Amino acid sequence: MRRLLDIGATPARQAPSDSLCALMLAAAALPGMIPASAHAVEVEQAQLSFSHYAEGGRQFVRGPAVDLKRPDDLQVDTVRGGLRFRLDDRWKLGFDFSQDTWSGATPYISAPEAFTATSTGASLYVNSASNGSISSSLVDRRTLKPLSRTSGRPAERVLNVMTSASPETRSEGRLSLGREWDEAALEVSGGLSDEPDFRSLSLGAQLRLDFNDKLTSLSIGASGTRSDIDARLGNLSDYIDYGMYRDAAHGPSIVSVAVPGADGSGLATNDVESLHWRGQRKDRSLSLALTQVLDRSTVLSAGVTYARSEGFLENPHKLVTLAFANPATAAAFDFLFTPVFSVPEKRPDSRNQLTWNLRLAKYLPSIGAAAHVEYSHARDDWGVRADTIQARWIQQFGAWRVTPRVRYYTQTAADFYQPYFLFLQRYPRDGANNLDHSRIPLDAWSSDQRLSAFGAFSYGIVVSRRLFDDLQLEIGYEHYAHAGDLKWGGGGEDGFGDFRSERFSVGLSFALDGPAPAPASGDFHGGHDHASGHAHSRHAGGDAPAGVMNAHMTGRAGDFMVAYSYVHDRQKGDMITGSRRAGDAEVLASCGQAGCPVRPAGMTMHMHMLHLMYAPTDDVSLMLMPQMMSMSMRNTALEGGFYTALGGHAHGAMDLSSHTTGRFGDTTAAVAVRVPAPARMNAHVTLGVSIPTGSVDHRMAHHGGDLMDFGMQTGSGTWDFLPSLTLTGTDGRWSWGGQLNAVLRPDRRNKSGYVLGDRFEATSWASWRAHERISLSVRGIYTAQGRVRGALRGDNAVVDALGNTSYVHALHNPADLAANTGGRYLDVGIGASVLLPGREASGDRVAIEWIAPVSEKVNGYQLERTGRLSVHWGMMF
Amino acid sequence: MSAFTRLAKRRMCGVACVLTLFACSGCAGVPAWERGDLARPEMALEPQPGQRALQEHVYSSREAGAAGATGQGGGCGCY
Repeated sequence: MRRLLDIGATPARQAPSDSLCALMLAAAALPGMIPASAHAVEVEQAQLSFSHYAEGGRQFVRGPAVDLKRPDDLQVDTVRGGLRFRLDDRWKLGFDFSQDTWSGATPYISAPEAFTATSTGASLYVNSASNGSISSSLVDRRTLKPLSRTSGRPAERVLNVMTSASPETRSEGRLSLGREWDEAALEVSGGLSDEPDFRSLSLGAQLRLDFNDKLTSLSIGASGTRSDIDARLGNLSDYIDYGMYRDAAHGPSIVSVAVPGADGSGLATNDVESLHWRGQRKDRSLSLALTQVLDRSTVLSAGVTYARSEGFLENPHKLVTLAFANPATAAAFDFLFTPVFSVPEKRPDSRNQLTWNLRLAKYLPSIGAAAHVEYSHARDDWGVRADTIQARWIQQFGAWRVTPRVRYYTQTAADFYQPYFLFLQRYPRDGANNLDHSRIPLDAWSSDQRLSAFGAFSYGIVVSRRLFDDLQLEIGYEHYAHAGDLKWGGGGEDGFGDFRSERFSVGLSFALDGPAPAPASGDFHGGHDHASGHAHSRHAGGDAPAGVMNAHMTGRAGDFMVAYSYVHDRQKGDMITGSRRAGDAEVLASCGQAGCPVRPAGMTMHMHMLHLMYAPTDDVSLMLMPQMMSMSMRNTALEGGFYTALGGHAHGAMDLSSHTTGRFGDTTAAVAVRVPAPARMNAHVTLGVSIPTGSVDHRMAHHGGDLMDFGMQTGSGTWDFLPSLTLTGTDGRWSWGGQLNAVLRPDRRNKSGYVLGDRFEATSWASWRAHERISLSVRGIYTAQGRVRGALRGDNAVVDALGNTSYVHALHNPADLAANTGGRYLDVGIGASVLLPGREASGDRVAIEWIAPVSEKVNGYQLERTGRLSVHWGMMF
Repeated sequence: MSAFTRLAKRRMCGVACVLTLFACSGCAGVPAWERGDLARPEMALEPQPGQRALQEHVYSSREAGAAGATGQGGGCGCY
């Protein structure tokens, strides 16, 4: 009866078998056993998904800079994971994380063509000035249309100036705790979001009350977020007037920060002046939603949300063109001199927004489909009115579920939005002829196209398939088109802001409360006592430490394994050469005549990897391993160091304090074959190929666009060969193993001019089952990493005496040099693994391992290593 | 009273009407043994929360109508 009650309390889980589903639905029909009839039942699950978002179709104006490359369109790679489970009948816990990395170009400022300028080799820029100097454009005296300074003809077409930012990574984690009562549920949650210039902490609570025999539910929610913003604007600019926020006593303030880099003459210093825009914002929201069961197959929900934001609401990476047509221009001219200024945007200090939404879900039993229709309307005191309508059709075809979706969105512009601002007056000036911001005849201004009038139409499809009783694969696609012409009722922004985007996603979700896997039979488990200390796996080597790759195979033909690995690697401290610490002078000497302004002071790497493994026969496993990476590097000035600009593309003083990167890494495809081994031991050979899906052209946006060093690229850029031999064995509570593996790189060069060095690794481990579920491990690792062959290909054309042009990389850092890569390393790792409750039959476990350096002998000059953390979660089906 | 507040009040009246409608419709009743379809996963008010989260993150970084989403701790999305 207890079992029946448990089923009744959690009916209709996702993905159980049809018969179990029918049983659950029958149980759900028993009076008093439905937790909330107005809601479909939540599922305890773990899920992991990857998605790729890419924009395109933005206008690009090259101007006379014929050799200027079109900037890469914006791309975002995202990995998301989540885990929800019940602590008992009443309590549940959830954890979600996501990490997204974006790179590419976004709109920075917009202006009429007549107010822009460019020159050979340089990007388009707004022809503005600051620091007391004036740059005058022209407008027609009568019509006020902007006029080309060269032809004198109207050139009023608005252009978007795009800028490529360094890749940035945002990480977010969220914990939630829920408690259910017979007719109520409460969930509290807290989250942290961290990116280089924006950190936020949020707290939220949601209460659901059920009435009317659970046909009606009322949800009340509240949330608060506090964000600290520290946006790195870079070095002082001759074109941008930051005066309004410079050292502001109240509110957001732009301050100078001393950072490592190179000064205007190229000399290394820790006192390069870099501008940072700092401030805080607070967001609060209150929501109320009522959900009503209308009949046996229809649910309606209506809600209202009030959101208030205050503080630093500007987008720190957007500028605005302010132009002042001088009516006092001599009457002899048929134009007006028009000084132009590029300034940061200024938004009101607060925003109040109300959003209403209505959702209808209808199940159509005759065709096994559910239709969802949603409408929402939002309006705020900035003048933005937004309407969204979305429809989804969820069709079940056996184990397949197909969900097509369409969405239309339209919004009006904020009151203070314009693509550029033109005033008919002399520009207000202070005593030093600078723009006097306090006398600009507006309270707020922005040219951020998110605040313009536009519409967006998107369509997409999500296809999901139940792979096993409790594992579901979900693939999604969405096409999104943003256009001024799509605004409802017309009057949208001109086409300069139009773009389109596409998003692909692949996800796996695992129902934690699904039916337990059938016990394995035959050679492996046969329903024996798991407390006996026998090896808990039908995959040999299941006790291997978390950091060992390809440590085991699947057990039998038809087995499928899904695993998630996370690796965090840190380097921090001094530079070393061979096995000893090295001083700045010798590190600098290694850079040669070109010199280096900085050296690495810290580097971190995060990697998320998905392992998919399938066994077509008992002795062969096929594997596919996509991964996502993010890296960040901090630098410090090298005493006596200097920067040598090459190819005439120097950008004055350079903030070289840090840079980050990330995206999808290389993907490994491999086959593992079982080979003969002595009794009580298993051996397998793995032959893998690393497919160069990662990138080798991540560049430093702030520093003239040079390539980042080898270790900051997310891929190798070459097809690599990955052989390994693994031997594992068990004896009572002990298990042990050893592996030889290599990365061989036969390609001559990748597209960035180099090939990473080959790598050889030997590792062996022993693990001891300390408890029925817990194993502890220790291992040793020896690694020989070859030196990089070739060199980073630069963008700086250097012409020698014979007129030959070569492209040389301007050195920032000793890590840019191939001579400072590779070495021999000895490490030791300690780890632990836990057998998952309910998954004993398949030996599924979560393992964690910390690897600490013991000794090393490095080539050239490299940053000291600190350690590596690995986490591995494998599930066998 | 600001125009915004007046508008909010009018909208609140609309919401009250919807609530009344709900209350009336709820009187019809659906016996527990007829609620099987309502308990299906695809009848959750948000049947694809993972996809929804990905979508909303994109929308909130490209549209102005999702200010409330910042209350979810989503960070800047300044791309």
